[in-house]
Amino acid sequence: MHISDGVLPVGAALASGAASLAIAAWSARRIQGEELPKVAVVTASFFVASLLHVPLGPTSVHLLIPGLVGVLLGRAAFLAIALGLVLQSLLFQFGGLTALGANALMMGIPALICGWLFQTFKGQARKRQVLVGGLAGGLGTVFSGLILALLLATGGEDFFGVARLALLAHVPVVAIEALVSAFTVSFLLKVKPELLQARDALHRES
Amino acid sequence: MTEAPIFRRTWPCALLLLSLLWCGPAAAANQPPVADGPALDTACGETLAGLQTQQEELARDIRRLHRELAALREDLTQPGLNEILGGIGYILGLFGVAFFVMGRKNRGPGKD
Repeated sequence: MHISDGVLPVGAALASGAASLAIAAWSARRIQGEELPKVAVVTASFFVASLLHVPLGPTSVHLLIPGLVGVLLGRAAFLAIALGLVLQSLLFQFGGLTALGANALMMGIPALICGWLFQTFKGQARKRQVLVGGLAGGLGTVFSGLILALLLATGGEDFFGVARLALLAHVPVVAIEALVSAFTVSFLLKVKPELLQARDALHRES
Repeated sequence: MTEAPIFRRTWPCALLLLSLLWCGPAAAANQPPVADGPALDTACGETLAGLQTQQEELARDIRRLHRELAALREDLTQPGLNEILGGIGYILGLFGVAFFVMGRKNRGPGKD
């Protein structure tokens, strides 16, 4: 799910670029020093995840994991995703430089939403945390598809048509990502639960 | 009336002559091809069949090459291991620099 160069109208591309720059700057300011290694590792995972092709019938789909990035990083997720996308577009020509802002919004905003959802609803019980983590991980790609449809609608595409197509194509991805996220959360809960505590969550700030 | 038998005799003779004249050269001209015809035809047919099979083989080979070319082009768009590792290196390096800068800032200027 990448928007290519020249698909969006110039105005929408510029606006989404400016918006994602602003959000990335905000996201970067929220990161604390001790978090940086975690952010770096998750960014690298995000960067590599879209190269893992899962064979599916005649075609293959690849993971996107915005939801998992959001669950793990909270507000730093946007910066991580923007950086991963910059490198992907520079090194692999995934998407294009002019569509970078739109792509960052498409993946970053779901990450922020999913991070917030996870921190808000995770509760205390282990099972519930795993469940919410898996749900948030799966929802990330769903939100990405919706934002993709919204962005393409600015270029005159039919919102519902694009949204249905994008969501249908990504049903297996959503399922796989939900599983991967649930597994990751359950593993981290066992091994290093403090990684899942958002130190920058809104309701913990005081 | 005395001429009638002569006439009657010359008339087939003329006909015979005419027919000889008519058919002679044609038959003479036709004779050699009729003799070599089957051999030449089979030779031509063999060459033609050979050419056709060759052409088919060539077309098949070219189609295969086209397919391979398309697959290669598809492969080239896929990022290789070098680029992936390079990207991971970039990410870790950038965060390393950020970590360093943050560490310096936290320590404060002039304290070292």
